[in-house]
Amino acid sequence: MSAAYVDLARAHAPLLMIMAPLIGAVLMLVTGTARVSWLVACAVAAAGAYVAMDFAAIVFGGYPQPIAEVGVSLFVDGVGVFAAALIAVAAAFVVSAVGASLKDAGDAASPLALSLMLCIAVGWIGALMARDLIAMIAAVETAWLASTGLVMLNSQRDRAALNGALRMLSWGGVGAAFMLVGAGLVARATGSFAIDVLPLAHIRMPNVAAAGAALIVIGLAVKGGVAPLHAWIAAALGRLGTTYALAIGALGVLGALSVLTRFSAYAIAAPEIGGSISAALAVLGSASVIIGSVQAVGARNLLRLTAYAGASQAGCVLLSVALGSPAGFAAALMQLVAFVAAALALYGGAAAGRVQSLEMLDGYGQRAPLASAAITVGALSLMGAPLTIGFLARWRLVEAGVGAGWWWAAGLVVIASLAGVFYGGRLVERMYFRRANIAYAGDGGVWRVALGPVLIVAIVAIAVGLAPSVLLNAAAKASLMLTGLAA
Amino acid sequence: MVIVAPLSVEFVLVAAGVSLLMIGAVATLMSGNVIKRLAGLLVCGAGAIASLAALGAGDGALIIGVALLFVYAVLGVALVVRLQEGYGAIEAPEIDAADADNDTQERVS
Amino acid sequence: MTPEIALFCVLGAPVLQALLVMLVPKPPGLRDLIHIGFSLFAAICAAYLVVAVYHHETAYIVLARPLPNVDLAFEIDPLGSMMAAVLTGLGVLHAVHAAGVARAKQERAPSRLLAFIALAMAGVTAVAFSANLFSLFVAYQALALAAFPLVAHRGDDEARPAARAFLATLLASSIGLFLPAMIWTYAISGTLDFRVGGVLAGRVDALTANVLLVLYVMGIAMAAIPPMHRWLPASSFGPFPALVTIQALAVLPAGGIGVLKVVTFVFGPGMAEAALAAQLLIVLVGVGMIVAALIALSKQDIRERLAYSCMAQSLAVVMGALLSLQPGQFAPAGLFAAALQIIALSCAAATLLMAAGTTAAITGRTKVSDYAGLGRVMPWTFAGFAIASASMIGMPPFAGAWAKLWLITAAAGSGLVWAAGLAAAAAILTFTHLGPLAASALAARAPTDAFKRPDGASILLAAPVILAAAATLSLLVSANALAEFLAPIWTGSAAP
Repeated sequence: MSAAYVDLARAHAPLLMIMAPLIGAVLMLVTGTARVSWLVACAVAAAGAYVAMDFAAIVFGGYPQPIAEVGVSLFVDGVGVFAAALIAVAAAFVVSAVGASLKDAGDAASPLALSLMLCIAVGWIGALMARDLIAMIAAVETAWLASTGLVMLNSQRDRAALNGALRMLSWGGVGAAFMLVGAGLVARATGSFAIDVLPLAHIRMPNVAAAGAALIVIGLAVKGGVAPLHAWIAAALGRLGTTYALAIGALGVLGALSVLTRFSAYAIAAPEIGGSISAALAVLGSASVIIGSVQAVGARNLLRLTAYAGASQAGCVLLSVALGSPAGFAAALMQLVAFVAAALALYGGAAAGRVQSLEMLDGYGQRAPLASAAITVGALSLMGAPLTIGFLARWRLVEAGVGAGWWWAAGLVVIASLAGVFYGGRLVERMYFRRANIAYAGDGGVWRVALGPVLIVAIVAIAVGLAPSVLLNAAAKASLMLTGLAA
Repeated sequence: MVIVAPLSVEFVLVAAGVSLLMIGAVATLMSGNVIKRLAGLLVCGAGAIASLAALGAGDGALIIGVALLFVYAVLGVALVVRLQEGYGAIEAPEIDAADADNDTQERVS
Repeated sequence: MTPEIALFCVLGAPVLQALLVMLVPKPPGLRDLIHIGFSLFAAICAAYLVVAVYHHETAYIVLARPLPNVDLAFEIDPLGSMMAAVLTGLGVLHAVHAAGVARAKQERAPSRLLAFIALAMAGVTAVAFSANLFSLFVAYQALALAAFPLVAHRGDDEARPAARAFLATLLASSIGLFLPAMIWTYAISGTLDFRVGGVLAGRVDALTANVLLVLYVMGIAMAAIPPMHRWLPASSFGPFPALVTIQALAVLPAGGIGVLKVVTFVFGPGMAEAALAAQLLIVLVGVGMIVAALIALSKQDIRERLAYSCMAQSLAVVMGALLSLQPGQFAPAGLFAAALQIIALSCAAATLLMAAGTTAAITGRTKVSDYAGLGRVMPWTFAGFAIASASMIGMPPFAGAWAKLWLITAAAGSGLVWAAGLAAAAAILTFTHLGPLAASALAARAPTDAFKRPDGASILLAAPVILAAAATLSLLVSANALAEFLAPIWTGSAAP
């Protein structure tokens, strides 16, 4: 009897991955107190993560499961499954980490903040499962507007969040408009809004389709914090504080980059427009690596430094996708894992001590050992230190790039790693070789342990570089499954 | 001639929509005044919807576009009010300057 | 005990040593016992591995498989086992000496100091036993990260920028130069494994070989090749036990071992395609040796003087390795000269730095001008200092002489007589900055107010210096045996 329910759940897994956090988001509005709503949110997010991981294990384990047709236009492909599982797991840990800082938002705002975080996860997972471009855009904007709302909510603690929200609204809105027009152009050229039709359709107007795809890429790149379209990120994250930065900087950017990877994979597979999209992604990716690295080296705020380092990582993702080969897509998925691990480590480590400026890191190694360990490991991953997931992801990119004759991609990876040495080394030096010059500002009390899981997971995820075969296999299989999973 | 004429009308409508979008985008990203930014955003969104309509997108797409525009407008208005309450100003340079001052004060302390 | 277990122990024991030393900071006696005991255990395991290699035994362990064709693997071979045995053997003496200095100088955070010394020794042992380029790269980076806290140990305004320069130079060069070279090698050969005769042999044209050689040699900045040598003078701000680790036992030797392994197993002896870049690099290295020796002469602080002196000796290692790329029958002579020079450098530098550390701990003196006559009140310490100086200069019968002899033989045999001239000039300049110093210490009138500590140097401080100095005589009797032992790395046949 229970096996039948399990099979039923598995058949509806993609829908459940979207519905679970959505239901949770609604429940937040009625649960009342902060702690209760947090517990419910953790349970819901954990359930969603479990469903997502189970589904991914089944798909990549070679046991394809029929997916029920439910009247909602879902299209599940390899990249979508991989990235959705990643987002769901990240969301579970981000939501759990919020427990350490519920006092910040206050009893009234906490349930709303948790609801918005779950909406962020819903939006990005929905975009990864969407069949057509309009549904994808709607889901993307759901996530983006939830992110903007979350930033606005933080203005109760620091009014600078309003400035960040203003920039998110401005840039995000323009990006949304670009994506809508882009979808229209693609549909006009291919005859359909469906994403999976792109590689197969006879595109009568390749220039129109290419322009449309490029507009969609730009819109998603804005949301992904890809330089030079990332003007919103410094203001949004710089003074955000505590665990909200985890939701925006880690979860939000991961979602955008995942959707960008998925869409670009289809666009590049279309013979008429693939070359131009690939070139555009290569240019954008290169620019993001360089600009992000330079800005990270000069940053004086830890949250902004992480955001700029994320822009550099995002550039590596775009370069991987631009290769247009299964090896490139697999490398892009590995880059996403490396990105979210490093982001969780750095933002989580900062949240433990409410660290914003770099000066606040002085002596952090003694005040908060686990958090400093997480930041150290995150910094090592950004440097591309061997045996970290960051190194592995970059190696895969270089391998794929060299295989395609893109030697300059290897050069950009080296630049990103060199920059990582400078800004990562600075963090480690401050934490372990300077005396604290301010009092520790972290949250006290037993709820502080809620940050523990996200830090431990980040450290473990980065250390996956030691034995990554499962992850590598999953990424390789995902990159080959662009034709989708049959119903 | 018969084939060309509809294409030309469509092209002109799309071009107009895209122009509106670009004007709105520039206003959104370059204006110093927050209300002008919001207005620019609405113009940008309207241009996108107009372009969608000109390209023959279905009702679903247009409804989604209008819904998004509405949400952006509501959020934008709320933001303008909050900015006025929080900073006492709605000029972006003044807001940026106030934040920069706070950043410096925090670093010094 | 099997070779695999011994290999695992020699790599893992220092890591465990570091953990235990951090966990057991008090009582100091127990901490020092742990530190010395584990160093001794690692040295015994390394010696066992030398015997195992001598008896044609093999060992290959894989710690991780991060990429499909690439293992994090370590194996025993004549070169690696010999280097590890020498370094861990000296490491035991250093462990005793470091414990003594930490007590005498009331060193800040002694547990942290000893722990990172142990981790650095683990790093250099891993470099010595690396089975492929990837493992070498990982061990190299791990060593740089482990040695960084040693430079930053004092935590003051001098130490911090020095530590930053140290880490930035080593990591940036390895990521910016060594890593691309590694990737390029992988793209050409499809493997990163070390191979006797060279993995690139017969697969590359002259341009590729020359560019790769420059990338590798410059990328292994631990060998202190100019302009990648900034980290070495920067490191001289650390405490004396840290200096011994960095300049004598771990970082600098790791650079020499890395260059030697790359030249031997990636390019192969006598690789004519890389001869041009090799000659240009020999010029750079030769000039670097002379300039380093001259700069050493200008330095009045003993730490800075010895840093530049060690740099000159390290560059001799690189010169030997590069000479082996010249086509002809003298290619193996260059490899042998480089191997001997690493051994000689480690023994002599360890002795000099430990002697300087003892002097600083007992008398508080670090200026060269204050060394006059100290040999009369610290005879054992300065006897060791003088012997090590003679070795560094290349005076027979000390280890340095044999290394220089083979270096000159390799240079002359390859037709690069000017390289021999550069090496000889550097030796003369080494004499100028070490010879009079040692002589003045032994011959000048004894100072009346020498000792900061009323009881003088303890056995912990003096004995390691003398024993390390005695090690500089080792090559007098073992040079031939060493040549036979190392022969397989250039002939490919089994060890005798």
